[in-house]
Amino acid sequence: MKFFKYVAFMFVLTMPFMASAHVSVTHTLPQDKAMLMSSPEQLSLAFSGKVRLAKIVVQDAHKQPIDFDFKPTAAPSSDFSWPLPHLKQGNYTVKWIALGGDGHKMTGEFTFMIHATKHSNKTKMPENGHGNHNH
Amino acid sequence: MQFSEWSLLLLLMKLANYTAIAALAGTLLIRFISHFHLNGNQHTAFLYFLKHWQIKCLMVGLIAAVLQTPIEAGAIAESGFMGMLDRPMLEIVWYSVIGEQARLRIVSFLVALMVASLWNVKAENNNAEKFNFALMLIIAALIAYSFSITGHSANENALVKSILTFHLAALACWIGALWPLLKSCTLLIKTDVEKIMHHFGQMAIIIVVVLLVSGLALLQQYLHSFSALFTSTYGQLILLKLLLVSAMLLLGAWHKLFLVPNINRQRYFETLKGSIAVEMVIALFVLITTSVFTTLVGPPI
Repeated sequence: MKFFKYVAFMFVLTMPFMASAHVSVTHTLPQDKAMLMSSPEQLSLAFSGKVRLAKIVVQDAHKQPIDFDFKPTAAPSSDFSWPLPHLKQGNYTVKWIALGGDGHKMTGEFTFMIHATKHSNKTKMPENGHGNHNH
Repeated sequence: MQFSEWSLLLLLMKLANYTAIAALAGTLLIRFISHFHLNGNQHTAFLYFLKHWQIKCLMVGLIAAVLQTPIEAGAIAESGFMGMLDRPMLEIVWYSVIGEQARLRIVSFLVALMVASLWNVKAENNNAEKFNFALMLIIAALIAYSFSITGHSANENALVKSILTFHLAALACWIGALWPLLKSCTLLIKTDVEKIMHHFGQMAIIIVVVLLVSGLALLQQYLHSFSALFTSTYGQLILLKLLLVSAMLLLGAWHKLFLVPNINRQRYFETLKGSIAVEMVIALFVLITTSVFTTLVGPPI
């Protein structure tokens, strides 16, 4: 009986030290569902923890990929940024795949739209990009 | 949860890993019981069976460990089976915690294979064989620990990782001992079968206590509310595992309290064999369920 009491005591004692956190996307640029007045100069992704970004694809409305300077690297990071080429008016989707610090595959996507005007690149409807933690 | 051909491969890989660690832990437990409670040379054939079974399962574990990095790389690349050979993806996986886990497992399974091959079953009392057993025990602990390197315990402290390691080791001992126990019914005389079953039954009490205490601690860690046990897929799969383990527990109690004491009566002996076979099938479902909720489904965030 003493043994069980000891185990129960240790169990309760250790509870506060047990906490966990999942990595997720904290910020994207352009922001999800953003409506831009001109082509964005860069593409950025920020995570709440370090991940290894394996893939990121920018597609236009016809699902044609846009070339930009992305190369997968084994070095983990929480912030990623790349310069973008000039993008034409239209809808774009950004899809990414990353390996989380816990070894889980993460996927996500977000969209943005570019208007035909030549004014400043102010955005509307700012929201964070979607992210999934796949198991 | 997104299901694809990669999910199935990852699931099979996890199942192979669980089977390997279970076989290793189970054979070690039965080897330990045999060493202390069986006399004479009548059980040499049984020890040979343990050795060969251990080697076969370690081979399965080694293959799974070697394939782990390319399969994970293919799953991430999302470009068909050629993704398994995609160098940047392989590098990403190899330098991540998955690579760390794979490296530990490859080395452990290789050393375990060598140690298992060197096990001289005819000289169990030699110091060399005791050293062989101790070495295998350390390797089994390392392989059990490797499961805490990735997944939901990856970012946790040493305490949580230790709890997971103990939980897995306890489950592995129980499940992995079933096939050797069933084989003991055909390879050993009834008196020896009774001794093995009796002492396994005593060990099982410790195993069940470790399993339940560590299981409760992990449940508290991954499910932040009691309702999540019923409302989340992860919780529902844990409930299914609990149900299956409870069925194994009931069968174990029936063996310990009724069938083993009456083992000398042929009818009960046959029933015991059948019942262990049923317990093995349930154990397989426990491993499949565990593979699913640790590979494809995560705890609710």
